[in-house]
Amino acid sequence: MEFNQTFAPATRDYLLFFAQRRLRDAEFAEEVVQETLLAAWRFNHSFAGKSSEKTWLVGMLKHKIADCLRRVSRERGLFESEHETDEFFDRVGRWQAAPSDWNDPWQALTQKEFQTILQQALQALPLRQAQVFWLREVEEFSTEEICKTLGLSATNTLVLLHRARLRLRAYLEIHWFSVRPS
Amino acid sequence: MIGLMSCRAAAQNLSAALEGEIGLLQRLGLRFHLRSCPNCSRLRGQLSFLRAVGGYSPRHLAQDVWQDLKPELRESIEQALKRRDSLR
Repeated sequence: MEFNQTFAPATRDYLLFFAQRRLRDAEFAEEVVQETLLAAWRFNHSFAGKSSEKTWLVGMLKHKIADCLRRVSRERGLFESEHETDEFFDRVGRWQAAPSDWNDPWQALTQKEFQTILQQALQALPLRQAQVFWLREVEEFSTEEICKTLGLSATNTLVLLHRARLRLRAYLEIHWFSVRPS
Repeated sequence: MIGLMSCRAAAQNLSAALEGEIGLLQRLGLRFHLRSCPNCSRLRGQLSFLRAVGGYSPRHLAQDVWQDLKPELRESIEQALKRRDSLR
């Protein structure tokens, strides 16, 4: 993204280091730094790595980290408790929108338009989810290889894969299978 | 909710099963759940389909999809590929 070039790489590294120390998670750290830089970039400043700017960025980063920690403690529920509504399930874990019958999905594989939808479905995912899904399913990384190369925990990798799958299937259902009853 | 396992948990277990990361109890609970839940049974088929889509002649389907991916996504994947090779 072009806004990355607005900041001195050293500043970015510093923020990343800071975030990693607090969050102890490479993926979340990357996310909050990205959010911070994006927010700063929206202010339309140009940053040359001056110390006052760094202080200002770190201040903002701290807020993002606090948000992230709140979010994480809520999301922990994904593999532990299940008393919160999310985009797929309600408070007691029932489907919000139950999967419908795709009939014979396999014929989609031979259709050119399906590739377009598939590609859109991937683009619609958060970057990390798309990346993990691609590495696992297309490049055939093992889950351990994903953990190692991306610095993720095993649980984290499973959660990302699972979310990617639920999102992809929802997207394909809405944009392909429900529009083309076969 | 059907039986002891909720649909949310069943979905997680289906995903985990694809990675071989599912324990015996979960497997039994899942089987029981699927027997009485058409929704999650459909999900099971759809998840296998997704897996097949990824693995379906990567140099064929995936190649075309690859061309049109966002540059930052492509880059993140390429980096991971290089990283893996260097770790080997």
